[in-house]
Amino acid sequence: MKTILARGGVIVAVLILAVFLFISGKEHAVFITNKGESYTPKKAYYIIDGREKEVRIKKKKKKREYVKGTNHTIEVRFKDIDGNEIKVSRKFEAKLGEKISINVALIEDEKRWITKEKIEKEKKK
Amino acid sequence: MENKGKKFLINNVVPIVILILIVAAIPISGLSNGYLIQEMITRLSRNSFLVLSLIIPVVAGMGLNFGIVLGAMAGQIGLIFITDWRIVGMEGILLAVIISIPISIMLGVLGGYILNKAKGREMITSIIMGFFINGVYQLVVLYGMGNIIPMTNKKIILSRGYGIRNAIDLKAIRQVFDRFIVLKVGQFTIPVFTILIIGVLCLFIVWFRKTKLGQDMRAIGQDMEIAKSSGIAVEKTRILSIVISTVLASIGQIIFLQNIGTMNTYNSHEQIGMFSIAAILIGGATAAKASIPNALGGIILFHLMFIISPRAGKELIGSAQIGEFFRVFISYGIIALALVLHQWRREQENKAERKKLMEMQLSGGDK
Repeated sequence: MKTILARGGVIVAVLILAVFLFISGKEHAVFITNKGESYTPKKAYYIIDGREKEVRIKKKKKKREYVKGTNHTIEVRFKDIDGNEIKVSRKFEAKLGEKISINVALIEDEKRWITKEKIEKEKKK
Repeated sequence: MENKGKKFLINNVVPIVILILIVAAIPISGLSNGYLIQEMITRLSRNSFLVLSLIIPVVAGMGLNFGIVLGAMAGQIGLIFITDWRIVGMEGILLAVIISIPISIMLGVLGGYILNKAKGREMITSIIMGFFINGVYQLVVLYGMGNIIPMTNKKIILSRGYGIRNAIDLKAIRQVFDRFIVLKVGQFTIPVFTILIIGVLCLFIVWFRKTKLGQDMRAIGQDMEIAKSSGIAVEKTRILSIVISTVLASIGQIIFLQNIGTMNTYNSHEQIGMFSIAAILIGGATAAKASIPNALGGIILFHLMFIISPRAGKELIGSAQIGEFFRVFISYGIIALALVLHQWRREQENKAERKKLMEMQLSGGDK
């Protein structure tokens, strides 16, 4: 009985570890756009998860970035309509089965800077 | 003293011959010492785990386990799944290991069971078993994945909608172990973390040989009948040795492929058994005796030959292909030579034993 319990315990622990690794190691695609409503900066720059390289995104362009795990940060900088430098840092979560889009031009808008959509599984033809 | 020297020469004829060949070929190849040392560090960290996985079945008297390709296949299945699920980095490798362990245990049990039915012919049986399981692997990967087993990553699925592509890019886990802790010594880059893992495996092997199970395996390796009569569960212990070897080989294959960075879905595992066995034999191991120095020394010698011979061939004859043919000839030739030597030694031992028995019977009859 003791042996069965010990072996069962090991299997459960390994399964929990596997689930943890799956969630923390999962890579998610994040779509970054630079398309405002009243104003769109000519160039915007962003850094995801404190990476070394800053990425430039031009007006009305879209880029795809990959992030690992659940919790992330994005730092965005651009010049506003008056030529003042705006620098905003935001936190976001990437969950399984969600498509994340971030609009850097709307980064100051609390509600609309990020959109999350459920990914529908493709049906086999 | 003279006898000792002769015995040493006979026991180490393979590594000595290879060493002489390498020493002669290094100046001809024109490769710098720095380049060779860096290559050796990389190849030692890449291959050691796989080669070390061969030691335990030798201790248990099952010869050289060509069945490590079963473990390699299990490792590759783990890598296919993590690539499909897009699990990256260290988490990806660890998850691949977790996935591959139950598969390799299953294959190890099957392999051990079959090898128990073919006692005395384990090596040839394990080669054929590798071919058989390779067929099953291809069936699963080529038809099952995407059809029965759901796959979502279009990058690894064939355009027809099922089956895995010929080559998988492992850039998400490429050299994750090797770059985790790196030490720079002059011009050399040392993958400390991978070497630490190999060190832990070496310690495990040393410790394992001293355990009750390790001692049982040794007893079985020396004489199966005596081990059986002394109450050791021979068949179960032999299966366990194959299971351990297969599990270690699956982890070894993951370490090997994370270093390379690409996986050839249908071929990566095929040569693993042959190359690992050639390496351990070149290190001086036999089908009845293998140790950690044999494995590590063998990798150095075998891979030195890998690097040097094409260049030496090119410098000598003007064709790198000749050097490559020479290397292939040497690696397979060494396996053949080691097996012939093993059989010859066994026959010599049997002859000596028969002679001893006859002498004992004769002296008993005189009385």
